[in-house]
Parts: sequence; structure tokens; C-alpha cells
Amino acid sequence: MSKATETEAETTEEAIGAALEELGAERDQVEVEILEEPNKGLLGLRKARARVRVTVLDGEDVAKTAVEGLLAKMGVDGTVTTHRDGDELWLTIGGDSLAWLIGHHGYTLDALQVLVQAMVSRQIKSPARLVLDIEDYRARRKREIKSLAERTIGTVLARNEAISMRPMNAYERKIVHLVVGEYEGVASISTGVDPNRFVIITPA
Amino acid sequence: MKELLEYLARALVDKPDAVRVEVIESEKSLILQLHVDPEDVGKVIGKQGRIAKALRTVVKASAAKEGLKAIVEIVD
Repeated sequence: MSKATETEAETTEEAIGAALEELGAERDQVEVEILEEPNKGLLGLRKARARVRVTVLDGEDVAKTAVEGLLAKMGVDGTVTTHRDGDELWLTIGGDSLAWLIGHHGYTLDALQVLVQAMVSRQIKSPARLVLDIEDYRARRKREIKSLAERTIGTVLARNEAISMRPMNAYERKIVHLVVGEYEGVASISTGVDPNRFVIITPA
Repeated sequence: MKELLEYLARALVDKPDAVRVEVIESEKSLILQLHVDPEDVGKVIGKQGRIAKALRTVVKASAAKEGLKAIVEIVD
């Protein structure tokens, strides 16, 4: 969950500075809420100090807000749920008739992911690797590619010859390399130029 | 389309106030001219045009859903 603190000082800026010090955060990594403006008071009496609440932005919250804002601007009625899978932060959009948002071979979904990642990395230093999904499109693709890689490895081992797979994007190729890494006696290498870059699985 | 492109561009640049989108309409297509601060041009283009390509794809898909063609031009 998000780290937060409340501080007070003579001026708002001093209070924010003290909070950042305490949280060990930078100014652009936090959200500041001004609880009380400094007030000189009548004739210098009842002098109120500045009080602020500073919250460290959480990657998950920032990413979710970015996706929700984007969906609203696109007129999409959808929900966003998040979960972590290893070092990946998955953001899944749920809703009806969202195929157009995935696009041919997932091109539109890939573009949305590039933009969300760029938006989030402006606010969060070294954010988690974001994976944007719609319904279970990517999750299903990931399972399909894993099982395709396993079948191909089986064939490579049985015939003792290299097999080229169909062109895949960087994320899909990474899945294949990870699966190959779990097996003895096979190796994998990527070759070709995007969007026609593909993996070759060879006997090791 | 205009609001979508403005929203995306503002979330990507250092000077969101300088973001402006001009729309040139014709029969069946929209030309969206994105103006950003000269120092922010790299931010909306990205390495090897990655961000610009993504902006075009998303705006196009959104327009296509409404039966329109949209072209995004980046101007500084």
C-alpha cells in the first residue's frame, strides 16, 4: 500500500520538504494534499502553521488511474483490475465488445500498452514491467505460446534438427526463450527484423 | 478524437500547457495536428518513433469505431 505522512512547518514548501525527507522520496514521486494553509492571523495572533499530507505514488495506483482515464477518453465502458505475476504488473480491462480495442493481432492493445507504460514511467521511477490485457487475451496467448514452444521443443529433440517458429513480438519471443531455458538439450535464438523477427529452437 | 489525443499528449510531455490539437475535417477523414513545445517533440515521438506510432494506432482505432479515418501529424 501507499506510504504517507503528515507534517507541519512555517510554510507549505517547508512542510513538503520535511515530508519528502521523512519518506525518502522525490517531489515528482508524491501527491501533496494541503491540509492547512499557513495563516498569519489577526494582528499576528493565533498563527496557524502549514500542514500537508504527502503520499508516495504507488505504481499500481498510477497505472490503474492512467488506464481508467484513457478508457474514459475513448468512451469505453470497462473495469480495470490489477494483479502481479512475478516481476510483471498486469492491468486487465474487462467489459463487453472490446475486440476493436485489441485490434488485428493485438496491435491496438500493444499500442495502448506502450502509451500506458510511457505515461506511468513519467510519474514513477523504475516502474514494474506493465502488461496491459483485455479480458484474457494476453493471458490466453501466453498459454498458447508456452504450449506451442513445448511441442516444438519435443519435435526438435525427437528429430535432432532446428525448427524456426512463426514471427512473434518481443514479449512472445521472451516467453519462448524462458520455456526453452527450462529444458535440457535445446537452445533458442531470435533472428530477423521486426515485425518478422522469429525464434529458432535448435538442439544444444 | 481531439480530446483523446490531447489527453495522451499532455500525459507524456513536460509542458502540458503547450499541447494543442488542431482538427482539419474533410468528408470522411480527420487530420489531427498535434502541437507540442519544441522541447517535448521527442517525448511524443519516442525512440524509433515508438510513441508516435502508438498514438497513431490508438487514435485510428478510436476513429474507426465511429466510421472515421484519422491521421495524426506531429508539429512543433
